Amino acid sequence: MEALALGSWLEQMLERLIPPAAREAVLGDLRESYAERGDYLREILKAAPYVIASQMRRHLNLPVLMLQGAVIFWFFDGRMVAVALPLLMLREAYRPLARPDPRVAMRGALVLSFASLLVGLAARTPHSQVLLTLLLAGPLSLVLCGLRTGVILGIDRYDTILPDAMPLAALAARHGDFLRRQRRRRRLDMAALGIAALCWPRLIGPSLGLPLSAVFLAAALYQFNALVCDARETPANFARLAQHHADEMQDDAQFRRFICWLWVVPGLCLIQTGMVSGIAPPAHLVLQAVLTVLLCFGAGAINREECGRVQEEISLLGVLRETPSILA
Amino acid sequence: MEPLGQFEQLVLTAILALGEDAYGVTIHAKVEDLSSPRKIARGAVYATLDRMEDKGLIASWMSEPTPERGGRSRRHYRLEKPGEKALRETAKQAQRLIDTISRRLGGLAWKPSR
Repeated sequence: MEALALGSWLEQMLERLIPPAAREAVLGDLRESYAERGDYLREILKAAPYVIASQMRRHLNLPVLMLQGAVIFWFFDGRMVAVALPLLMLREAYRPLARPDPRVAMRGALVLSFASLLVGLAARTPHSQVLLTLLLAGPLSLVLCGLRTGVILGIDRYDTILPDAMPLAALAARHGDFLRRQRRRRRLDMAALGIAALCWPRLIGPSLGLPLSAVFLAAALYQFNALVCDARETPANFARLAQHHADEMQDDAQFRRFICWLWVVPGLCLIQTGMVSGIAPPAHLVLQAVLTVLLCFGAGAINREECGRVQEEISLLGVLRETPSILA
Repeated sequence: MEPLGQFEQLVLTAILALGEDAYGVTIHAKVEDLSSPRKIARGAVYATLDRMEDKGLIASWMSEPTPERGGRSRRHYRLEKPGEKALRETAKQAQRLIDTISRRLGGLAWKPSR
């Protein structure tokens, strides 16, 4: 009985090696081909490197990866870039196909609020302040849960439900709507990033502000280039259009996730410069830590929910069938 | 259009031969059959299918889940127009190769199967 439980635990672990986007098809094929559990698990291990590499290649968005690399390089060093970029690529390959479970999200908020205050502050705070820190974790967790709930409800307003089947004209119209919204957002992004790039050296100081301005300018140029060179041909075939639409959504979501974190960086810089001075009393340290947690948690929550929504739609596009047009 | 690699030719030919029944398991079996006695890694077939789908040579769709697959769906593949065109080009090249060899060596001992 124990061996059986261990076996199924091992099976679940190995099955999770296959990236979510390919899991359904690959594991189904292997299950169909190998009745013996040992053979099935061995084949998962053999296929996994190819499937992971393929998913990393499929989800690779080189301009966004380069922008991420630039931010990491300026704020850390080259070694960190060498470690972080493969991890970021791996992270893209393992993106979940749906939005996170709200219960898991809330549990995460609670754990984060207590853990961050315990680990991050207990080391820096005098022992007399530890109780205050622990007491603060309660209200902080409520704020984080409220923030997460707000993000979940905000994303719930989007209409992501795709029918099982639709005519080519309806899919083309949906794609057209997406492109229009994307163009509008690109213009807004470009203006906001450009203005912010001019402001950072004054607001944060030249040492951190100039590299940050360079990254903001590069991101604005990327959006400008995408706006000007937006001439990719839209396929007239249903399956190709669904694939094309999914690819465009994937690229857009990757850039939006990066932008979301990019807007957090100046805030973190301001908080960090306050912390580095070292003269801040413990109460200020607590406040700075709380602000850091709120900023990072907010960006992470928005990205997870938004990414989940996009992935849900991409998964639905994968199983979408064509129906004859009503006009035809 | 970018010429097909040897492995891509094999996978595309397998999809063409299998028609409606082209999905991971059958494609892998057919590719092994075509490249016999060489053994083919199943993962390499998946990676090639992904790459060719991105190039627009093939398209895929998911079927209904089945019990023999542990309640999972099949990803079916079919050849697209650019895939058919690339395969025709490959066949023409192979034909030219066979013609040249047979001219220089005075005929081949085998005939390509039709």
